[in-house]
Amino acid sequence: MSFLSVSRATTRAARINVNANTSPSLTKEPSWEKDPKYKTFSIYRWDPDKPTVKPRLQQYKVDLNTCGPMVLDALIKIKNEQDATLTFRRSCREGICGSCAMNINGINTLACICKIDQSETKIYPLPHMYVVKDLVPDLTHFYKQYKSIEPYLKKKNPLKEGDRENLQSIADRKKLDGLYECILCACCSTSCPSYWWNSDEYLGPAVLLQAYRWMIDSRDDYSHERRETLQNPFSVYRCHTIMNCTRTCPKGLNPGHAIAMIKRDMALD
Amino acid sequence: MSFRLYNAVPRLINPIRRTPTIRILSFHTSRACAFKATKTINDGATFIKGSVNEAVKLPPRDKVAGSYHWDFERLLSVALVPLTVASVVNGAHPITDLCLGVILPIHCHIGFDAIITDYLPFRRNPIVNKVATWGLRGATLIVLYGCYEFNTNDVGLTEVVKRVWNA
Amino acid sequence: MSQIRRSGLQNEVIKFYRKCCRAVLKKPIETQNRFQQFVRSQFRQHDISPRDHSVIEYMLRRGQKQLEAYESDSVKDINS
Repeated sequence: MSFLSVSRATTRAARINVNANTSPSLTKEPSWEKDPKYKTFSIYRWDPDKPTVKPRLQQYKVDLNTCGPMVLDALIKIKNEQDATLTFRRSCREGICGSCAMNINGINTLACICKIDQSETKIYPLPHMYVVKDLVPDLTHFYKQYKSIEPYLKKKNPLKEGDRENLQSIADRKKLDGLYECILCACCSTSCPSYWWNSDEYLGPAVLLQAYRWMIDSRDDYSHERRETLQNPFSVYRCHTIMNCTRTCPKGLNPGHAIAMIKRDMALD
Repeated sequence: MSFRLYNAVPRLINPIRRTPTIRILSFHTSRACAFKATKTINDGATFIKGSVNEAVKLPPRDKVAGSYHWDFERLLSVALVPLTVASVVNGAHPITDLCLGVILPIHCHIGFDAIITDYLPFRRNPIVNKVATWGLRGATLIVLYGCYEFNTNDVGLTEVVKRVWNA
Repeated sequence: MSQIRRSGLQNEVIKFYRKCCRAVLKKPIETQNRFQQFVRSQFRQHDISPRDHSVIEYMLRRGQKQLEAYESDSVKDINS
């Protein structure tokens, strides 16, 4: 829906442009129409249907005055007006779905909550992931790792109908703050050098943050078992507290701290 | 609130959800195939079998290589702090020298071992990994013996650092 | 000179081709020809330089995924 409305808005702007150009007598009108302010976006392009063509950076010039404030707005504008083959994931355009995670000017972030700055912008897909096309990375392995930590509530004796519901005290609920907000955009995991080298065995910050979220949930009965499954040199202990995860997280969470907590709990088990 | 919680855990709690699938499926052959491809975990949750849908298999559990290893590493690192301070303040002493001669090589060994597991993991290059691991072990043993010899027959670790420092 | 020395990647490609051919044999007999044709066309589709390792690796990965999809018993015939 937002996609549609953006395209309509831009065509309207284009029409107004045409009018201004064709009728010079109207130039004395109040100048709400500003001069175009162009900015170049260099975007990583790679087409899976032509695998022999090497990936390249393609330049697009965008008029910032007719474009929204975020990088995602610029991307959508480019796709609408200049190059329909540009491929990227996007959904919510407000930083809650995690679809538009990409590497903008060397920092993994969500395109929809990253403001366009004045200098040149380079946009790459998330680093060290297989690329599906252009800015779309293959997150299959990431999701499979997420599945391996069993990210759902597990009870030792399941509730029956008519039982009391699963209550949680305010203090217990507070423990989940800073963890439940994670949207699994994979920005942190793909910024972690340890995850780059050992992604097939190291779970990565995003998944470990989620693992910790279920470990400290007061309603979950399996926190000890959850920790036991991570008892190996790779799943957790490839974290060397590099802290790229915390620095890059577009939601301002602290996966590094969560991993440290897992390590502490595993040491005390 | 109760409705939300109920929604969050239906797979574990609600037995009614599981049963009707089989009844419906027995009438549709195409769906029956799909049913064959699903897998049931012991808590009643079903999922489609296949490589994309299946979870990654975690490495086998090994507490020694896991948390004990980490505890040991931290213990050594923490122990090095008072030892270093004591050597700096008190000067050379046979006991601190002996402890340093044991702990420092092991501390270094763990550090280098982490480099090997990070950059030369067994699953990617098994031969190089084996060679590097055993090479490191040999080197550590030699260094341990060397430190022992140096502490017993020569001036000792702290003293040599002091002399190099002042030289 | 009975054995040609092949690189690891070459071996991988040949192994994968054999795997595809074996998968073809599991299909209904009257469609096997078409499946075989499809496999060949997929392998000959692009003009890839043998030195282009990253491309070959990519094609292998993509091929594995394709094979997984087409291998399933629900795929009964193919028109390429």
